[in-house]
Amino acid sequence: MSVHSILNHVLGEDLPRSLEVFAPELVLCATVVLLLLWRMLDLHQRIPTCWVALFGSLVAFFGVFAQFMYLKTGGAGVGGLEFLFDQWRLTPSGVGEIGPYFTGLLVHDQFAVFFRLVLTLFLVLVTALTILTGIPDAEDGQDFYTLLIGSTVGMLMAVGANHLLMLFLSIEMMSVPSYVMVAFQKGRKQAGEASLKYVVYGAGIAGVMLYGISLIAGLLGTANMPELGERFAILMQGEFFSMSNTTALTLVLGMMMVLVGLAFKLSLVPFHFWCPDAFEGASAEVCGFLSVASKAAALALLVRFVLAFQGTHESLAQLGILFGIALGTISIITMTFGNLAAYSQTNLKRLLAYSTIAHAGYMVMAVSAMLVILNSPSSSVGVGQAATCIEGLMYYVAVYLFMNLSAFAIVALLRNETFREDISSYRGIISGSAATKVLCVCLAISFFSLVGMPPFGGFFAKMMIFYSALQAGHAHWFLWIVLGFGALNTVFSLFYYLNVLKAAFISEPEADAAPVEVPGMAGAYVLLVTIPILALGMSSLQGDLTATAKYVAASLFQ
Amino acid sequence: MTDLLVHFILFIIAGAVLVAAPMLIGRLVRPNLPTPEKDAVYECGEPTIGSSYVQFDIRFYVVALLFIIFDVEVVFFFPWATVFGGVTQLADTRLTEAARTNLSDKLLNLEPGTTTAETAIAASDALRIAWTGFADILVFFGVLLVGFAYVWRRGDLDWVRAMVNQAKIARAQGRKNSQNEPRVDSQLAS
Repeated sequence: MSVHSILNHVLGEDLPRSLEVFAPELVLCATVVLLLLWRMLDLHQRIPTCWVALFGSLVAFFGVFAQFMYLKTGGAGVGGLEFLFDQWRLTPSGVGEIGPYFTGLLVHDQFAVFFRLVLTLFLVLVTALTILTGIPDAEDGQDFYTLLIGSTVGMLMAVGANHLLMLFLSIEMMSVPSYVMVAFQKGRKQAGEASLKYVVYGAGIAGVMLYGISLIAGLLGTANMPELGERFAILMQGEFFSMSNTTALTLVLGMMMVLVGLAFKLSLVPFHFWCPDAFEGASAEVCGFLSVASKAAALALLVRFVLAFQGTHESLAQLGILFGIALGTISIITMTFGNLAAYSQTNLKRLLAYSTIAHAGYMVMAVSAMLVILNSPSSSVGVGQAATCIEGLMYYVAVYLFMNLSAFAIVALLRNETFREDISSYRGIISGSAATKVLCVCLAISFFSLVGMPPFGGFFAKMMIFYSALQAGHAHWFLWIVLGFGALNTVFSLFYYLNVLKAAFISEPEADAAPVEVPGMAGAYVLLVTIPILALGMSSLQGDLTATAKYVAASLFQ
Repeated sequence: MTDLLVHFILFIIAGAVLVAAPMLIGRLVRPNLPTPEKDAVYECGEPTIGSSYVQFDIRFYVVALLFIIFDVEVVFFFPWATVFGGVTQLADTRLTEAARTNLSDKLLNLEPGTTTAETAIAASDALRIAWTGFADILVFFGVLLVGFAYVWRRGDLDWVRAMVNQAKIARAQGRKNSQNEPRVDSQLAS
């Protein structure tokens, strides 16, 4: 290809399309620059920086929403949607066409857009929460939101990563700002300690992951993810997949090292040590952000990474089964450990950190089931069942967003009143003001949903993931064991959640404690993020989200 | 597999032996005649003054961080400058054909003489690359400068930031006090 035609392709076709798809991220980048300028020109005295951040993230959210609807409707939106499409100048050859962009570094498809939608929605909700709780004060707002938005941009790139370099870059881009966010409460010794632990751990893991990437790229001669499986199949031509084969061994080693990096972001056991400490030191708002957003992004990245090694060759199938079972084992250990360790916690943030670890275990179960199904030689399961796994995973992520945000928002709002975060400070808070009562009820809803009680969204999410593991059991018996542990863990987890609820609803308040008076706005906000949990459990919205997840999952395996 | 394993084990053994052997030989051969000078910590021949476990001022880290930011930026500038320099040369329409193929080889990192008249980079294409590159670096550098200006404005570049702040507060209070003074006097008078 001559320079002229490459230039015409890159500047004429690839760049406009890439910028069109990437527009929401560019809006967020512009917001970051605007925030700094805002503070520099002292405009924050008239309009606080938090409103600039909220505005920027809302615009980005609507940008991704427009893209999602454009893909779903095929560009035939009516009314408000048409207006949105026009505003973002969406074209059939740009957003309307799925495939790689930015010369193959990122990929644009329904799966990526769904996760970007979840992440930008979450960014909006977290920004609103920080405005309510006032965690970054007026002087430091721009610093905090710069980090928050910067980290989110990294996550938005992670869900569309199509190249091993982007995988590494996006993980670092979402990690580095979160190290600083953990330490954001200046002068708190705990926060500094938590951040240091997180940084040291993260730096080590980044090195391991980079080494893994270099092994994979060196072995296969490319870092472009869609080509990895194909290249491996060529290398394995006429050879037998076993651990005594050097090629296979090197690839397994490289993949394991990359998975270590992803497991760190997902806080899977044994790479979870940072999680409780970081959560204890950070403010509850930041914990909410770390527990939902970085997990959703890492999960999408995990799915993308393991799907890069799919193909028709025999060795790829064996590789897939191997990693499916490995992830299943990690899932068992993670959920069991997370739930058991949560028992002895007295600090609510630490408790929720272990609950986050356990939930990461449930979510990885779906990925493990997908891998086993896709690579199974039996004909009873196929691509349709693999899509069910991804469907369950996406439903889980969507519900998990609201459950965890609601729980952490309540912790943050009550901290503003009582200045404490231990479980004993929750004793008898139900006797407080009306807004406090709302908070208590919402806490109960979000906790019951986290356990997976029937009428709430969490139940359906868990059921879909367990169902996918049940299906995968037909392909390999090991997934039935994973499923058994998952079911047992659901029972385990009931007790420590109930322990908190018992303190809030049944226990007598501490003798010298004043009744907790939460402002009305706080109650309204928590209600706003809790209603979706109910709606996703017992309204038509449940069917809608299932249908959307099904459509996105099916498009991933086309 | 066994091949790999043997290599690996040999590598470890050789590595361990090569480190251990000189130390062992040194231990056996060297005379043991300690003097205070020999026991002292080696610091480039300078006599040591005090312990090296001192606390560094946190401000050094700020300077180091800023240094790294601009250092990394320069690293990004190098490859950009090579390409940009190459294409601005190629953008000259008065170049002879030989010079054009020569420069194209250099820019595309090919063996000299690979590009022919047809595959050489045309002046118009070179100009396009140059403008695109210019826009790229402008955005990159612009964002960096905004960050730099922000840090400057917030006073993080002042070596004695705390004192600057104190001075500002003192000045502001001085002004406020001078405004308040008459009222205080009148209160006292009443």
